[in-house]
Amino acid sequence: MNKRGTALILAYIVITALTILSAAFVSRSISESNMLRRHIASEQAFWIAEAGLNDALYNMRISSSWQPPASALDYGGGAYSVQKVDIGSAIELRSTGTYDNVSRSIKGALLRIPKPFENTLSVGGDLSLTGLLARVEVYDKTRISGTYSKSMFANGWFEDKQEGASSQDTTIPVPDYNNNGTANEFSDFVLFGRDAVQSYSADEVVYIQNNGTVNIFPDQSLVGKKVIFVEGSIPGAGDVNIFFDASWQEGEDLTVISTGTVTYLEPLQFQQDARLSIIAWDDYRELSVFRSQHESIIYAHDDANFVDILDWGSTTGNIIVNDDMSLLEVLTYEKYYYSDKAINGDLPPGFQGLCSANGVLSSKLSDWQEW
Amino acid sequence: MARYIMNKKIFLVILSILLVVVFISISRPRVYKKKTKAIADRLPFKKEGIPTPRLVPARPEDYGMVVFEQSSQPPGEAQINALIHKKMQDIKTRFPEEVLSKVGERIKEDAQKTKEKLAQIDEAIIKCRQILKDEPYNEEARNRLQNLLILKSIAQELPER
Repeated sequence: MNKRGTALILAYIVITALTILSAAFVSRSISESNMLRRHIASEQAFWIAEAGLNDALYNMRISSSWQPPASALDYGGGAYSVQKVDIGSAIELRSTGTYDNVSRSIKGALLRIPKPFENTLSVGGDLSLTGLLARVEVYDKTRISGTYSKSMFANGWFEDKQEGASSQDTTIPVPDYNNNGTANEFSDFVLFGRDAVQSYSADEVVYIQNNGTVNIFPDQSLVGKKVIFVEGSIPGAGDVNIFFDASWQEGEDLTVISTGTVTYLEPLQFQQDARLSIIAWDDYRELSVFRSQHESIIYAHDDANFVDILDWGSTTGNIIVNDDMSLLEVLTYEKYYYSDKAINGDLPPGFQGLCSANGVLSSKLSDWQEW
Repeated sequence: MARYIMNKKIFLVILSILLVVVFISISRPRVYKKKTKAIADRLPFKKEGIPTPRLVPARPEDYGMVVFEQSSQPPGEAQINALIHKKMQDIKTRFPEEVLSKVGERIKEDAQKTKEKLAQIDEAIIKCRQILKDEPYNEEARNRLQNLLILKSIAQELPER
């Protein structure tokens, strides 16, 4: 067999193979270099957008009537452009950063927080202290649209109390969720509760439909939950009793929403940075027999009653009662402290849905997200 | 000779296919692993367009909740005591010791004081029952009685004395 020329052919094959492999490596190297360039550009664009958002926030803090410039501003080798959009319950600030032809956009909202969040106690109706030999202390503002009264042996101390306050300073109507032109209806409240549930991922919420009374005990399956909504089919149905707390977890920020009455029994909230808040279509009741302490934002669409027996308790947060509030302590010492978290934009889960165009613009950005 | 050329052709075809496969696999863009994720992507803010949960009602018992049905009679003293006792046992077995000791620390008081409270509650319960005897449909008194019974049960069960 004549094998002359075989070496040449094999050399040719090897050279071809090496050429193809080299081309592949060069191609991959170029592709990775492009990806890296785009990745860096994307990161740069993000932080430029972030700078734009912070610039807008700074300007809004100086003056809420600030308007963003019409054209993009150069920054960090790229540019950002900012938009200010009024969405009624909030002012949305949107920023787009561009770097090396790559754009990224982020936005945040300055919520319009209802005015009652400026107060410790906000009572749309009358406030009465009818306990026996009880002392109640309320720090910061107490605003009452009706009147304050107390029984002979009860003692109330208020740092800053005002009776006959405007209802805008003391009450929060439920916004017109069903868009029928009338706010504050039960159907609005149901849609508000459902909206609160749908604002979080499925593992952060518990949605219950029940016309009975749901008793909630501390349970580890409730750790990390944001919203529990108990929905009854008619106004006043779907009551909730909360015993002690719900999850006994540090950093807890849970809101219980009910179409009925919520009763908080023996609040024992000792965890750091924890908050258990209440939104009730009907009444809010609080009862304790031992020392109680909790941080809560309480919103009762109707009345609120606090009943303590032979002990002392303290509530930190904001209590907003659209109608009457009564303090029925018996031989107790109850203190109410103000928390400015909510007015600064750190609203508990679900409460954002109560913001409306009449509110006070928060100083902190909420709902920060990429879009 | 023809056979030799034929074998070489087959060899060349196989080699070419192999080279193409190698070329494609090498030049395919690499998918970045999680640890190379951009810093911005790791920031704790929501991305738009996350699927919102459907409104599927949950079973309260899956979360340790107990429901008093609207249609049935409100629970009596014995029923409330049994419920609170059972739940306290559940809490004692399920929660870590340090959580329970914090609770105990918070509410610790002497037995005499608790006794006084129970007497106070009993007095209020008697008053409520009297009102309900005279006015069986007094909803306020009924609610108050229910709450007092629960408070009494808590006062009996809770303290870690």
